[in-house]
Amino acid sequence: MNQPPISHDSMDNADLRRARELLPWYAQGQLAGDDHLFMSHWLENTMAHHPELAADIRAELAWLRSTQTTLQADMQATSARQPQEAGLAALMQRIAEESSSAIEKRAKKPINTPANPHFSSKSALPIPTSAPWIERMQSWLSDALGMRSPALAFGIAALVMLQAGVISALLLSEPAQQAPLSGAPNSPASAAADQALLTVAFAPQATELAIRQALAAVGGQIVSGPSALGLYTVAIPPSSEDSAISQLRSAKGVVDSVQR
Amino acid sequence: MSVSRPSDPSAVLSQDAEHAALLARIAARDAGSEAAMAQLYRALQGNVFAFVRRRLSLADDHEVQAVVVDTMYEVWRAAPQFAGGSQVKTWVLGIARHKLLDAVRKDPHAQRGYDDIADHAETLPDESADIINQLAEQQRAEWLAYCLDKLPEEQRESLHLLLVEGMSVEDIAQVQSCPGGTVKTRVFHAKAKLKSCLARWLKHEEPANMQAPVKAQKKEDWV
Repeated sequence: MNQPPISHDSMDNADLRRARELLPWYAQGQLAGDDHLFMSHWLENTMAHHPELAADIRAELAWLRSTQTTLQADMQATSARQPQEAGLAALMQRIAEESSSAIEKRAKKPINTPANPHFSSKSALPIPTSAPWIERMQSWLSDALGMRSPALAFGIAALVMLQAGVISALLLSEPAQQAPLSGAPNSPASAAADQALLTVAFAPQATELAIRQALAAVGGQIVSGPSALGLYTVAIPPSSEDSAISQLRSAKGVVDSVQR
Repeated sequence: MSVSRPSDPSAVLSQDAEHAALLARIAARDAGSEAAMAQLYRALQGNVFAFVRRRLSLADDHEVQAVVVDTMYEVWRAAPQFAGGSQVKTWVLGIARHKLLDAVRKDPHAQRGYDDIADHAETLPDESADIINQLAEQQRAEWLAYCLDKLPEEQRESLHLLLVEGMSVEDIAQVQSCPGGTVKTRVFHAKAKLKSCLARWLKHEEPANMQAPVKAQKKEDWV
């Protein structure tokens, strides 16, 4: 598209104002479309027919360049004197506090799995996908196991992290925290009294969401675990035991093994 | 510490791809998320600090740092919502702007209200184009910072994002949540006022409170 040359008469204030507004971005090569076309023609015309204005524009560009250099150098100097690591430590502390706080809140919640008779669709989705992985796993465990103690929930969560291959050293350091789960009113163990029990090993790379979905598909509910070997006991409705075993075994990448 | 600001367009794209990859790792919320967050913090905290510092000219470094940490914490929380519609740096600076406005609401004295000293700048003959080149290097930086502080906040922000971050009209508009035309107008006026301020200083026409650049003065001197 060709624009006619801008005559001296047509060098009105509107064009001059527009050119001065666009000049900084034109100089940085950041204009496109109509703005770029306008500036190209305007500069061409100015250089050819308005030498005084052209000199002014050159001075403007020099001023911009000089100012930019000074400000960028000042920015480097300002940033260099900042306590970067202190800020980073403060940030990481906040992230850790967020996780701890979430654990405490989740640990106080009643059991919430689709297999539970008190399951509600609202409380079944309490963990946003934006929550940290460890938080989601810990929360899920707290809910699934009916944990009342954050410490207990965390101990269990640490063992699940082992199953996920994240922290193997916790295997032998945390078993004392695996308190018995039966006996409490409404506990998963008592709720599972009339249900069939399966021993399940989940795949190390399985996500909390994938495990939750696999269990929901068979009406399953974790009632204990993980054992020292990383095995979980899952309660399922007795009438569907065979199909549940078959379904869980077919969940490749989520379930490694299923035993009666 | 380095500041994330490549000038080559291909380097900008490459750097943004690195930032986007870090953001994706953060959003994944897995074992590598916190390490990715630390990397992104190191990559962008200089940009965020400079941006916040330019606006909160009267806050001390610790107050500015607190806004930086607030900003990066929000980046951590909101990472899964990043849709890739802009450069990561633009997105982060947009968050920083919200955080610094929160800080201003809590402590209005953290930023200096401009005093209209250069509001008539556009009426002055534009004979100051090379003024800044006449200043000694150190003075130039100090007085430039001083004159920037005298600009209305949003004009100062626009000029900072243009000259320091090298942002496009569209990116600045995103950070400032305004139309592109507004950004152009802000920069137009900011340039004129900045030149006017520097010209006044050079001609020793500055008012009494222009005896020293802002860096040499304490917060209470301005309130």
